[in-house]
Amino acid sequence: MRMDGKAEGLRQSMSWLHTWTGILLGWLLYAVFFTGTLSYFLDEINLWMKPELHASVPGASKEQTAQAGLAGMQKLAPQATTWTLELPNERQATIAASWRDKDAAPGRAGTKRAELDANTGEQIVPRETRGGNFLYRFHFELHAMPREVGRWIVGIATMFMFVAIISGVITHKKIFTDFFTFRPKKGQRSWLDAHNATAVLALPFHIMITFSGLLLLMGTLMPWGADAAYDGNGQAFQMERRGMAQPGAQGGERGGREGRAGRAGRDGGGAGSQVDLAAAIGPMLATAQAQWPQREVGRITVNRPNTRGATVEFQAHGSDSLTTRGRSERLVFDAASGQLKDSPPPQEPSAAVAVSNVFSATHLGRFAGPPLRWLLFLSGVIGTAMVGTGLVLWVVKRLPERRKLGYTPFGHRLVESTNIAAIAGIALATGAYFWLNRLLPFEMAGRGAWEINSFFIVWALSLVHAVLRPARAAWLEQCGAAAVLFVLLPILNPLTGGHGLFTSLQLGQGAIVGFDLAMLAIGALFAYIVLHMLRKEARAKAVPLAAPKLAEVRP
Amino acid sequence: MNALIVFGLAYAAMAALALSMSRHQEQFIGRELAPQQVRALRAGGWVLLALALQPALAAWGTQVGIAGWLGVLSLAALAIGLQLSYAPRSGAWSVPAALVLACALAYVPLLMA
Repeated sequence: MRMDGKAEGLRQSMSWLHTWTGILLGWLLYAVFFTGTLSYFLDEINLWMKPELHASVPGASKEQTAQAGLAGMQKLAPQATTWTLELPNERQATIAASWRDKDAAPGRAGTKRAELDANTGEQIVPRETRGGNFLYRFHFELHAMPREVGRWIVGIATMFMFVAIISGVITHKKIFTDFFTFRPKKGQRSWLDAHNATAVLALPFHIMITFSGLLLLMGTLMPWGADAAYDGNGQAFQMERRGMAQPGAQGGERGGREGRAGRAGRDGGGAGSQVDLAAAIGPMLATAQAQWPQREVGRITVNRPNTRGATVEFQAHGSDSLTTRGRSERLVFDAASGQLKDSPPPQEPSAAVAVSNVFSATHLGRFAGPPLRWLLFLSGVIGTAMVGTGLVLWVVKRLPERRKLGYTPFGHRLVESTNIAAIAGIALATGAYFWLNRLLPFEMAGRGAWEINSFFIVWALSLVHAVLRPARAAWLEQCGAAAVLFVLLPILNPLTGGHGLFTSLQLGQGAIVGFDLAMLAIGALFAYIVLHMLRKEARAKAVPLAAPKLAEVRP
Repeated sequence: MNALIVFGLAYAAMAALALSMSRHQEQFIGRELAPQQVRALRAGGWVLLALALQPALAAWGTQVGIAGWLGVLSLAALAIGLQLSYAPRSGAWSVPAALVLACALAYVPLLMA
């Protein structure tokens, strides 16, 4: 927008577009990036936030764990039509059990769940919490509004993120010459360098995460094609897209798979007598394990337990394929004879579905082992830093204008305060969320909801604080408070029923160790920001305004 | 293991590419390089980048391998960028060390096979 009415070049117009879409949606995008990045460790956060589960430590062998799980199910739901046991792994301490009763409602509603101790098979009832799922859900459908509305808002922000990426690349004057350039301690120049470096160096990640984010929200943003083709029957569309047999027979992915396996069980029923699963599981497990030398058995499904036609289905843990979205091979055994009945190959998706799956699986990190999960997490951190530096840059770039005016325009002050609440405030709110998860009493009514309320209350307070305090002080105090909150979390953990670092390290519970160490790292990061700001202040005082005076003397 | 090999190669590749730019020659080694040396560094950098794809594919398969390779490239470039601003001369030992480590890690399994 040029004041003199001359035509503006492509770069200027793109720069304008980048600046204003960036600042308008940057706050929301920062929150999306922040909570989304944390969601790469969803399981770890969930485990930490349910300290009752920390005591579940699997025994020596997989067979023992499976037997414990089966014994637990026998006690909990002997009449069920299926039992599904997700065995413990490096990210999960307990056996996550689910089952369906005979007259269960179709779909997810009819599936009951419980956490079983991996050693004893006893049910553990953890505290009521939404755990990491709250952060995960927030990053694509926000909170306290209809799901569709939240998805629309995030979807629009994602589209503008795309706009910001493209206009940013066009605006960037020296994308290749400045590729490796970061010039510290140079004010605005440093912020611009940091914004450019985090954006350009991780550009493949930014494009992937934005584009796949749009694909994942596609059903919400553009439902018309599917609506028209399936007469508004969204469930049928999803079933067919996922390659499920008999659309409409069962709702949801899990229901469909179990339904099919259940039919397989019925076909082979009628032979043999009542089966002693505890004794039979070991050899079947060994056979399955021999089929997958590279991988562990991840899930055991028993169809029609306590009947003569019972079948046991094994599924490998994880998969290297992006096109199938991490779905893996299965082996079905006849429980009575212990013989392998069936090894249905994973369905080959169609080309369109495969392309969509590659993007969405990369976004979700479903396939990822520890190195790739960390890679995605670090890329997410870089993305968060990119949005954050961009927000700060908006303010820093306008500091000379402010000095010239001699006062702070309302708009500048508004952006400055909101930046503080968006960047430091959300960290503070997340820290408070973890703290209250441990401090609210176990029996409290609606405690899960109150954890979330406290997240938003702290976030709102951080905005109030940022408005009331001068910008520098607000940054310092909020970053300082966040540092204290996060550094103390590993100490709070053992004091409130969890396994502290000593115990979790001894027992090799990597997920809990990882969470505590990550909290220490985040705390250290905020402490570093505080120290950096204090040092800068001390330096500025030591050399009292020498440079500006010199400039004033000049003609 | 393979992730380290990919990173070592990508890190050396990014260092070579940075060193082929005159601004960073000043930072890294304190003098400008001759045009032939610049061309050699640039070519070497691209070759190393391509080489880094192989262990990524071997470790993670085609699809995840390419995604992982791109991710590691980003991290390696970031590492070089930070090093250039805060400890430019340390590249003299860290880049050869990374290359040696990557080659050793790639070589050892061959001995045991």
